[in-house]
Amino acid sequence: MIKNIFSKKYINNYNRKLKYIGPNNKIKLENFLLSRLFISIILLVLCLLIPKYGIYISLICVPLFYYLYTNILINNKIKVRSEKLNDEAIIFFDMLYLAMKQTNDLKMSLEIVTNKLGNSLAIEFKNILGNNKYNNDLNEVFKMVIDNIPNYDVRNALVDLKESNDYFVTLDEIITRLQKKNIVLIKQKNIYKPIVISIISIIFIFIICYLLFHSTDIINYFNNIFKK
Amino acid sequence: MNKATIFQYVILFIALIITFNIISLIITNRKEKRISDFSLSKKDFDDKTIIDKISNSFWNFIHRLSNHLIKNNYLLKKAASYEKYIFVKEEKYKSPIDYIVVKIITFIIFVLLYILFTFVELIPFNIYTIILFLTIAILLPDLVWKISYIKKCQKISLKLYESIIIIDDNLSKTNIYNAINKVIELMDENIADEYQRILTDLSYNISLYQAFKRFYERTKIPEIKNIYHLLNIEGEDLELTFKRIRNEFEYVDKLNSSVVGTNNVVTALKVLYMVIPVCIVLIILIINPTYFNELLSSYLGIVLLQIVFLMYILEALIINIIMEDKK
Repeated sequence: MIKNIFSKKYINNYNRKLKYIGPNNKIKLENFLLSRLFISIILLVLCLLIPKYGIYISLICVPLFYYLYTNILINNKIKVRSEKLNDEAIIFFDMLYLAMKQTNDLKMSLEIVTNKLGNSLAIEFKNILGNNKYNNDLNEVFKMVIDNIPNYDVRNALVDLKESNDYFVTLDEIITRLQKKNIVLIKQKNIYKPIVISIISIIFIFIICYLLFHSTDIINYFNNIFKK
Repeated sequence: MNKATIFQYVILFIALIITFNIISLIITNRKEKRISDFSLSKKDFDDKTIIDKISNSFWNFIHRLSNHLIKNNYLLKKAASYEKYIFVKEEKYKSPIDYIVVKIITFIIFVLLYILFTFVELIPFNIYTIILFLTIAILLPDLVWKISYIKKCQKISLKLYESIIIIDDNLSKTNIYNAINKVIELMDENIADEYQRILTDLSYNISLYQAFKRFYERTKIPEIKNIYHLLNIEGEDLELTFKRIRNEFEYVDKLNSSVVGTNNVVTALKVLYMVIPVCIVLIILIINPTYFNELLSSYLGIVLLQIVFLMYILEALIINIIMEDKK
């Protein structure tokens, strides 16, 4: 039904986004797109029924709903996951390094690590490795996992690992690169903290001062209303 | 004269007697010091101080009570959650049931205190005061123990990195048991206590991974997760795993040190913005002390003041909740 309404490019784009959410995805593309369409149409009709300012309200409400629906259900989850992936990848590659030292085989160490960890990365690897049990070609497995990851750095790290000759050296480099990136990201995040705190608290202090200084006026206003 | 003022003077009198005794103790100790260089005394063979002796005898007394009073299965299960508060070297004279007995004793003491205070007319005889006293009696011991345990965990988390450096340096020479013993020798009593529990776990044939996992479940320090994740892969080369653990801790150190500047600014700003409304109210009271009298007399004024207070609390809550590090 969707294929009659929307274009192929649009559907492929949303399919890719739904894969990025991770292994705990319970949203199906059909339900999402159709529900968004129908609810926006119903909202439009309801807003237009308001007598005087219906058009302006509908012009604000319907795009807002459209935007919020996608953001809350899809885009925010992708953002949260891509921020978490850096930390998860560091632990994952650390454990891979140790497992490779015991058994020099990449596939066996991947199976060991994915059975012991509970990350989203590990669960994805586990699902895909379980489907490709008798497939000795790891390149396909890596390709399928890379398609499900929204984070740029982790994707590059996995590509590095796939095409490397010496696994230990590449794993070392990957881990140091991810750690440095994390340090830079945390510094960027924390610059906005003092600004946000001061804005919020100044708003509250304004409200408190207004209430304290104009308290008599407010009480007289309410008393006049009740006397009428 | 009120009954309350008589009660106050009685307490003052008791406090004066105690200070007088302490002063006389100090004077006799000074005189004893001059003679102690030339004589043997009981203190040379007895390492315990007065407070240690008092706490020992207190817990011994409670242990005797618990043996006689309680052989219940239900209370034994509840007491298992207090096991983590006991230090390993104190296990000779403490057991988890003693903590429940202490709770019962505090309850009885608070009931007696309530009767005394109402007799002396310090506190009116209401349902509200009864509820207040009983809730304090039930919650106070738990609070005190929990806060002291959290302080212990905070001290441990500052020293974890050091302990892992010690283990890593010693693993090249000896095996893991001697490495952990060295940690217990060299470090504080808080961390040494936890590592001793790990040693007892290892002696019961529990793997290192499980031992450190139980360590985490007791104390809930998030840095221990970095340790037991890597120990999950059971290998014969422990040196390498502890080297990787050490690298992880270095990286976490770098992360935290890069954020220290803004965190200091943030805490300073939080304190500032909490203090400003209080200063405003104080300035109003200094300029015009009768400003709030109109508000307090009418119903709407009290509602308004409650709203102002709500705003103040909301501000504190929002700042603390939004600015937390989400992990």
